[in-house]
Amino acid sequence: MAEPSSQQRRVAFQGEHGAYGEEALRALYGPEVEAVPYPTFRAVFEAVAEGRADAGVLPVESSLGGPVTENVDLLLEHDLEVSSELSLRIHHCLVAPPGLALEDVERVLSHPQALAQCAGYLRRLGIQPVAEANTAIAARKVAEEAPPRTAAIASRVSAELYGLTVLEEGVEDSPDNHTRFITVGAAPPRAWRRRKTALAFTVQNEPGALYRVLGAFSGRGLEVSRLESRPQRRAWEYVWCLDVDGALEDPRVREAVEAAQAACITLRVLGSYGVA
Amino acid sequence: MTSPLDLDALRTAIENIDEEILDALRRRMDLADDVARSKLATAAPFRDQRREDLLLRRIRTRAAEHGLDPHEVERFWRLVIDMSVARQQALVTRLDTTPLRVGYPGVEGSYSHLAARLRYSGRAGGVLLTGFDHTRELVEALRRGEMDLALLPIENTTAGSMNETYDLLAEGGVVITAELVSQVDHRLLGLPGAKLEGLREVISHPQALAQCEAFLREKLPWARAVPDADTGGAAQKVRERNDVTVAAIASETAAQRFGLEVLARGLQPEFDYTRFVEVGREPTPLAPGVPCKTSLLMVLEHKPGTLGEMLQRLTLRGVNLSKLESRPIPGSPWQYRFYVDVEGHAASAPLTAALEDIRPLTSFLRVLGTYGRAEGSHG
Repeated sequence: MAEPSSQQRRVAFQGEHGAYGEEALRALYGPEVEAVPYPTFRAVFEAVAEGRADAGVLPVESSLGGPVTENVDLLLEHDLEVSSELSLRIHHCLVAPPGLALEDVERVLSHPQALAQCAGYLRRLGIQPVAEANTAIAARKVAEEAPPRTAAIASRVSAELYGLTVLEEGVEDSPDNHTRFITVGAAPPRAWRRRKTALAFTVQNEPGALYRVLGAFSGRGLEVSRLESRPQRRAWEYVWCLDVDGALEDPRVREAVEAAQAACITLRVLGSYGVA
Repeated sequence: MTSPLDLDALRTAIENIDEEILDALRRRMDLADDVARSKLATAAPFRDQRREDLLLRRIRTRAAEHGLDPHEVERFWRLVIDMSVARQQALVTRLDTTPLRVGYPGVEGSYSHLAARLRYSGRAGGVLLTGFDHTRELVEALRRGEMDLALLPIENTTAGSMNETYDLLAEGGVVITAELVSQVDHRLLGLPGAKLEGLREVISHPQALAQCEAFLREKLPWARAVPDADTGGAAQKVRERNDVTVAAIASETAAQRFGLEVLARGLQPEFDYTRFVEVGREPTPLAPGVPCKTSLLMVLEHKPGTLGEMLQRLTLRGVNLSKLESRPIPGSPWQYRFYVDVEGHAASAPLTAALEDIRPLTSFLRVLGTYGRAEGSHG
């Protein structure tokens, strides 16, 4: 085995080679880093937390499916800071072993969210969706096990990787199919369009408690671009996740966060980072 | 050749057997009455397609073992089941008090069924519980008046808000009348005699597999996780496949329901909760002073400042937000749906005024219901 360059960074993603996570990873960190697949999102977090990887790439929201709640929870659970964000355009392909024609496809394997994004297309063709752990695993399974009359929904990269034919490209129902990825660990070395700061906080359950936090930002002319409640693993309390435009180094943002802190029970800065 | 005398004897023998069949049929119908009473008292589902399928499968197997045509025998048994169900329904109409008809998604032993049993069993007058394969069918049955109430999962500590439930509520015709929070407590279930070290496959709902991911990785690294439509259905598959190398992640009740053994408990690192809403056609009157909340669904333009403006208008009326989640709308890239819970009654002066204040910011605003806050629900 060739000696790995001590400079070469290891970046973790969930799934197998060919997954959309790897595409996001390449877009952010470039072709030089080593892309290391892990079976679960938790394993990606742990690899970065324990220093086995320099950074990790994780999907947090889909423009069609909504938040990837597991990663929001894992972010709250770990001490890792968010280091960047990227919105990736997703093009799903219907892929099959060479020789299988579109009209002979009866079943299709993919990740449940990918299947949901192509639900209208599959219904029109009368193809039965079958859930798999992720799109790349679905592609590999179709390639290696060749179950009869079975195709997969996956990326073009997966099709090339596993020697599958692309029967149709762009099979998603909505043309506006983006997935928002974040990175934890080392920040990608590149320029950013803008910066933002992400917070997680809990407030007292009393009238106006939440608004006092929000007032800290709106009173300083800062734009809150996202606000979401997440149920905590205690019945039934919420933790709030908030994104505000601007870097923490900006004095207005720093003052607003300090003012918000005074109105919260707990407040944590999840990260202040660049948006690609 | 058979002589005429032999024929008479044969006919008598057949009549005797017919008497036995009729007597057995009457005893079977009497048992059906007892089953109906027990179902009403314990809030078990009344007609269960999957249980009937299992019964028919057993009958076909036994018929073949007896040297009978399994398909002819199945036709006969289908008639017996219909008679039995008709008899149970007749019994219900004779009762003094009308039982409440409550629908839930999934099969018996699903977490929705457990929540329904928890809430309604022991109710005076009894409860008729019915499991539905699709939540949409359930809500439509409620709208048509075939069900009195539906119990729907709306939010889970792992999965967050359930879009499908919000979609159905947004279509109108039904309102939230109550909420309850129920604990999800997974078990690993297998056939009697199955061993952890012999398992090759674990079937369950993808969410349950995700919740038990650490357990599967540490205790069953050699087993493959296979996603299925629901936990109860996964348990049923283990029973049907009759294979000791296959296990399901489901509830304790599913174990009893499908005759499976609990192979392991405590599969989740922490307990997981699901919030259910009870949905009816009419709002439930609430006593003054009862702490209540109101659920809203709204669509906002996704442009800078709209979210902040909405929050400000609510706060100026003294309305506190307890939950806010946004979801993209497929096909409408610049609009977001917001699932919002606020404290207070929709008919109260501050909330009525606040809703009028925020209406111009929205392209859709619907009150999904006002209901009492559940125990343990601080949201």
